[in-house]
Amino acid sequence: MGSPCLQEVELFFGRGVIIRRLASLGGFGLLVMLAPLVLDEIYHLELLFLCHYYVMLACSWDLLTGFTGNVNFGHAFFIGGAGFAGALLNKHLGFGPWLTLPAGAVLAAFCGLIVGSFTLRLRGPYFAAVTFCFAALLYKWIMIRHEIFGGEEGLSGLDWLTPSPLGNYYLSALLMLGSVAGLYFLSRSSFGLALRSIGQNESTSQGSGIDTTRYKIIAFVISASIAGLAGAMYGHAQMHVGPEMAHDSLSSLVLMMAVVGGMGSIIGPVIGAYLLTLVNESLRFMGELRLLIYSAAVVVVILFAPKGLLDLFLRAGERLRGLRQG
Amino acid sequence: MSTLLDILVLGTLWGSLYTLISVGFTLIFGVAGIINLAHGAFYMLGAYLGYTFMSLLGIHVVLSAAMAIVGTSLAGAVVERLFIKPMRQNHAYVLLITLALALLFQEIMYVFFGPHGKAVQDFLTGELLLGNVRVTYQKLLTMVVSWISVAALWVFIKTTRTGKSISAVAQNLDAAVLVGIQPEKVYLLTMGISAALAGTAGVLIAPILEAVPGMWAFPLFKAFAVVIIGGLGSLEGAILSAMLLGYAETLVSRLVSANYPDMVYLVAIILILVLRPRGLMGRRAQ
Amino acid sequence: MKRKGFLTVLGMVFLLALSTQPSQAANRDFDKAKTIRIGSLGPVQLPQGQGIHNAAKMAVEEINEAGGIHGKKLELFVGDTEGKPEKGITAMKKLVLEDKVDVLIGCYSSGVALAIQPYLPQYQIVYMATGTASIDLTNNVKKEYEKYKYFFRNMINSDIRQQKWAAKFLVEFVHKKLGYKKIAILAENAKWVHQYAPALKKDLEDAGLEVVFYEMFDVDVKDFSPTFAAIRGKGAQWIAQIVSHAASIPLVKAWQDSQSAPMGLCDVQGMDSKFWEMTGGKCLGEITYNFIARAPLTEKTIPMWDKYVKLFGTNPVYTTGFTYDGVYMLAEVIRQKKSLKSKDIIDGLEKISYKGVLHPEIGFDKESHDLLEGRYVMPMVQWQEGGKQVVVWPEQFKTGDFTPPPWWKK
Repeated sequence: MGSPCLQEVELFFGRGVIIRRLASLGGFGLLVMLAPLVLDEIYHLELLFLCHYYVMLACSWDLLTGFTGNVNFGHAFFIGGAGFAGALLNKHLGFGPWLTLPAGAVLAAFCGLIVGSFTLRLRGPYFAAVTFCFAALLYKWIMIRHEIFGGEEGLSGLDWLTPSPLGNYYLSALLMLGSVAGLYFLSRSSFGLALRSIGQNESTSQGSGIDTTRYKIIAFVISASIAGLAGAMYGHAQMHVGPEMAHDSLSSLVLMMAVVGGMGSIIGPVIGAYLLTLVNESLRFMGELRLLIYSAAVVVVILFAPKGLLDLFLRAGERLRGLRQG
Repeated sequence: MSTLLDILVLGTLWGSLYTLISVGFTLIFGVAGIINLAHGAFYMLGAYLGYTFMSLLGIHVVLSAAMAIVGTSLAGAVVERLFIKPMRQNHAYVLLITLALALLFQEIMYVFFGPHGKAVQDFLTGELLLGNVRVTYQKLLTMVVSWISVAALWVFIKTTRTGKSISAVAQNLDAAVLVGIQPEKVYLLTMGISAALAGTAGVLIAPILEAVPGMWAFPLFKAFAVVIIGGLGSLEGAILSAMLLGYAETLVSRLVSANYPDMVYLVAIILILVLRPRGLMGRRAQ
Repeated sequence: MKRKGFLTVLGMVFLLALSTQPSQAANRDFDKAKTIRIGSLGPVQLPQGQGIHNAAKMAVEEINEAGGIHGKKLELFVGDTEGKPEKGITAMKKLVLEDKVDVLIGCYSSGVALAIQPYLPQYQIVYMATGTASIDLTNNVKKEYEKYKYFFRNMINSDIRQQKWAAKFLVEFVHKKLGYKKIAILAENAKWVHQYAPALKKDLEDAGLEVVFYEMFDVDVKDFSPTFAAIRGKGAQWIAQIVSHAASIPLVKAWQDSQSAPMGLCDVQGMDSKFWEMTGGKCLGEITYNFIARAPLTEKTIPMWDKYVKLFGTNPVYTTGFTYDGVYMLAEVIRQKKSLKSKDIIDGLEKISYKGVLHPEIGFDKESHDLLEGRYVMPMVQWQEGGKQVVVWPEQFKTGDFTPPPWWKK
């Protein structure tokens, strides 16, 4: 396969681009870390925590779907699955978050491996249908075995993630920045290139000797593990996990964030996650109309900016630069 | 013995409903190659329109139903023209925009009608006792109308010129164009028919269940299952698997518990896709 | 080298930010407070939630008209839980962190209350639960008093109290008075029923009745025809339904269509006055217990009921009575103690004996903070012709006679 080594990437893209990209990521990271100095209301910290959570979900989803074109309709399988696994480990075995978070990630990765091995040889709508089915089955099972999972009301009374909302903010920020950076550089490596070529034309890629199924499985596993990590993290921060974490509406929500932001770029989903989470919150005063406006906006964006807002911004930027030069 | 009769009756009822919901879904895939995730939303629209005309405006049942179906069909045409046509080349985007539309439809219904279930009156009152099952005339009507609709569709496609042009586009687009058929018109018509069928199902089922903003999901999932099991693009496959699904679910509900029938279609999809991806009667080429 | 410096700066920023602690909400100084803020939790779109918010509104307005608490007016803030734990947590945080309320009241779903409970010691705020029935909530207080002492519940818990009352009704009325023996138990599998249903089955069997059908169905189920066909097949003479969150409307419609057996025990959605309209009249004959009725439970009940109907155009629901009394009790304690500190409010509530609309002597157990035993009534209400809700049991509060469904021959 070839490990995603920075030298290879530099050779392909040119040194300057790497430094610039590291700097912008670093800048973003600094902004995230410094934010609490300005926003000290618990309310704001918790809202941004939510953004970190959704960023992890949207970016991890993007790695598979955005690059290979195989639409994953069951991301909630990993989010809810790891969330509940972590919760059960916490409640029954007393494992703290420092154990349950990695455990959630590993479990999700393992499930991703199993599910992926069976299903990633299917293409197009079939893979989408199967991922949906796995998530829906998990959700049903969670609801039926209510004595284990708490049914509709989930499991409460989990240990808190860290002793304070500020601590939660920073831990989630670190996990989020780590995930984004990791996914980003992965996507810019030869591995990412392979995924992209699969997305362009799977048959051709297969013809040129790439084991497309293996690449897809690895991407799926990485995608799953980050989603699982995020799910376990969220459960502890809320001190509660519920079946909504495994529901198809969460899969749809994450998908929308990535699409609106711009699939296939890792950065697009970051934008989409922040934007949709913050907009959702700020529209709260609209009461009943909020979700209506929200979903109408999503339709508009997909229709007029199908490559996402990131693409829109980049093209606008280019045009501005073009105007200045020309 | 009476248990078997119950299962037969209820299974036929649900199988017929699933057939009605799924034929439109498989039609649009077979013809235009797209998966319309807003299909369930048309079903929902039919139910709510039926509610509006019948319960809110007090219009006569038959007229209300007809208006609801026509309304849904028009909505289908609008969706096709405005949202699907620009995206048609990229299947993934059609999936995404129809999903986004379904969610939007849900919110629109929520704003207009609220989250509570809306009750709709039965079209016919009275019932039949078969074994332990009281089958209301409403449910019988649903079955009968489902079958009439499917049969009408069949006849339309096999005999009329327009119907045959739909079939032609489904089988070989280039050849159809060569013969002078305009694919855009066919897509529009097919979507209209597909939506009308879904809307009919919605109008019929509203008195039996209730009209809620989230009701678009269940028919979509069932239609998807039926179509995958039967084979994408195969009308006969859809009918067969719809009936099978209806019986299977009723069987599980009676013999196990009411909690499990909703898992049948999920397991069925996975099994089919792992063992025989083209479905029971699907074409071999993908 | 550049990377090392970057990380050091990051580390310093991290430490610096950790040192700043955001401000607390509750436990304000009473004298300095201009108004007293009450946070009401409940699903705004559901009747049970509206019952909570309306009752709180009515109580707050009455207290303000009477001069407030030592001249300070009460302010009400509403949090929409949508009946779901995740949304409930968000709503509660909004009330506590943004609106900065002094006390919390309400909530309809036990799952939501359980999700909120762990936050009470974090925010150190008192919460009076007025719509949640699960015994786990008050068991938590008993088990870990220091942590959960902020939680009080003046509603009737389901696991023991409702269950015992249900058994009493089925044995004394359905069995002894009507002469039926074969009972079907049809319950939703939500938290509040987990102990309730099996214990009910046992109590009935111990009293000599026969439970011919017993199912705990998933809250998502919408098609009940096979279920009622099965109940009919088993020859049940009475159906004891236990539903609150599930789809009551399709369930009741399927029941009426099935003409299987009379149904009566607990249908929370069926308590609502609009239920007749929502089922198209198909709830005719259904019985459900309620926690409030237009009956003289105390001399305050009927005047409060009538005023509520006048103000809101609909009957009170079960959460209304508890919330109304709850707000008054909190106000009474704050008035007595002249304090908004949680420890004072807790002390006051543990000692209170209050004459409300539901019972003349409402008080709390010191260890579990649950409503004291015997301080409640649960009238059985039947839907009768024309959409009338008639109290058929217990005898002393009856407003009419039990009428079986028209198709029931025996």
